[in-house]
Amino acid sequence: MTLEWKYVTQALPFLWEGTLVTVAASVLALVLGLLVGIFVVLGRRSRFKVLRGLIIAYMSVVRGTPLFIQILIVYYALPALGLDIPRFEAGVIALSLNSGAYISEMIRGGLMAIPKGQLDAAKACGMRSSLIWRRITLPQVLVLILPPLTMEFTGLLKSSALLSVIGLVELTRRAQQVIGETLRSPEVWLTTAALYFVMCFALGAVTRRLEKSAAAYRL
Amino acid sequence: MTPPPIIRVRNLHKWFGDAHVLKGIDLEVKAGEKVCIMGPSGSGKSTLLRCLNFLEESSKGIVLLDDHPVGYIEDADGKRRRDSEANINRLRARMGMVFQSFNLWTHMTAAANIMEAPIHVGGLSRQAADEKARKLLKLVGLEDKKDAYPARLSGGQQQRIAIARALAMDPEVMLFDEPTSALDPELVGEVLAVMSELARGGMTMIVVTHDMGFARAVADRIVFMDHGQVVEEAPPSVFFEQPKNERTIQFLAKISSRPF
Repeated sequence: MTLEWKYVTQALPFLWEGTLVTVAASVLALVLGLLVGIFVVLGRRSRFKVLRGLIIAYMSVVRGTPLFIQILIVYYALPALGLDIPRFEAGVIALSLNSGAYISEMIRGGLMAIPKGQLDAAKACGMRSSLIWRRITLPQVLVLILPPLTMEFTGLLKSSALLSVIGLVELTRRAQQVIGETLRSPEVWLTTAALYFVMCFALGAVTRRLEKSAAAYRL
Repeated sequence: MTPPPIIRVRNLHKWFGDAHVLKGIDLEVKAGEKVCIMGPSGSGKSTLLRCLNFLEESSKGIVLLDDHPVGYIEDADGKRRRDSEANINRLRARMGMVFQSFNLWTHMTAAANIMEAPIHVGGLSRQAADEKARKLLKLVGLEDKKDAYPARLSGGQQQRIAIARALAMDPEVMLFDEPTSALDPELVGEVLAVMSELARGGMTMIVVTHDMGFARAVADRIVFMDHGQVVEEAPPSVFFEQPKNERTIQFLAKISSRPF
């Protein structure tokens, strides 16, 4: 069997639109996941026992169940509880809740790498704890976790393919649609894989540069 | 008339678990006075210093800055209750602190380290803070390092920036916690020079140090601590030439026989 690229070339703009949805969902999930991660770290140190308990439960559930099932639950099970969420939003929520659990672990690791003396110095200057967190701790943690965060983003780009299962028309779903029209499965999947690969590869290059400039102060 | 004490410590105790590291410290420091705290390691010097600005919470007793209790307020019946965070921070800002390990914020330039508290705690404009940072950098002799990150500076330079940072809130008292102990010997001088300059300017200073030369030259009074107690207090001439307490004599014999 020979590969027939003619149909794929025609379908490229169509696949491109899906790529944009994939990128949008992944970027949003990363940003929200980061916020979730920060919230989790702060919540774990909270005085409120109930909050700490909820966070532990959330972490266990996220880590103990497949992402695939988590996506299905957010989209199909939550409406049964009266929470009807559109596809795109449901997908982003599922991805960011999943990511947030892992990002919170990165942040915890980053926090431990910040010398306690720097916090003493901030306190001694009269800085209140929220200010210390915002000005001293968080900026340094973000730089520290940049490499694992990049990995997480690459992971998100790839696992967002799972969102096709709830009918979100992202890259993978588009590919399926193109195959439905053209019946050229090998060419379309190869092209789709190439698109994912290019995204991840470009991301790697961007972050290497980002790491370099962000870490200028570390010599 | 002697000036009133700016810092008063009354019957201060500190337990770390079962370890009783401060056993009822009483101390007064007058405005403009330079006090060096000396003593063997583990004697509670650093803990005492850290209790003064509430980086360490005492277990009993009270610290007063200019008659304001720091951290814990004593009720009429002697019960202690914790002050609000805002009040604690206000009092802390009136004391500058310099640490053994410099503790500069490594993600900020030298100037940014100095400007941080004046802007975000003191409410100074960026321009005014920049002006202040320039003056302080000049004072510590590092005008040319304004935009350098701490990782690019030597230990002595880092400590001088840390002193400038501590001065940036115009503190009434400066606390030094073994400021030269982490430095290579050839870098100690530049830091002590800045501290001596500060002393000449009339700053109230409380310095935990092992540096006999500095203590002899700058201190008005040496406070000698051992096992969580103040064992002896005297002007340097008396302290070094005619120590009275047996433990002081032993300690001085030990540190003066150290090969330098």
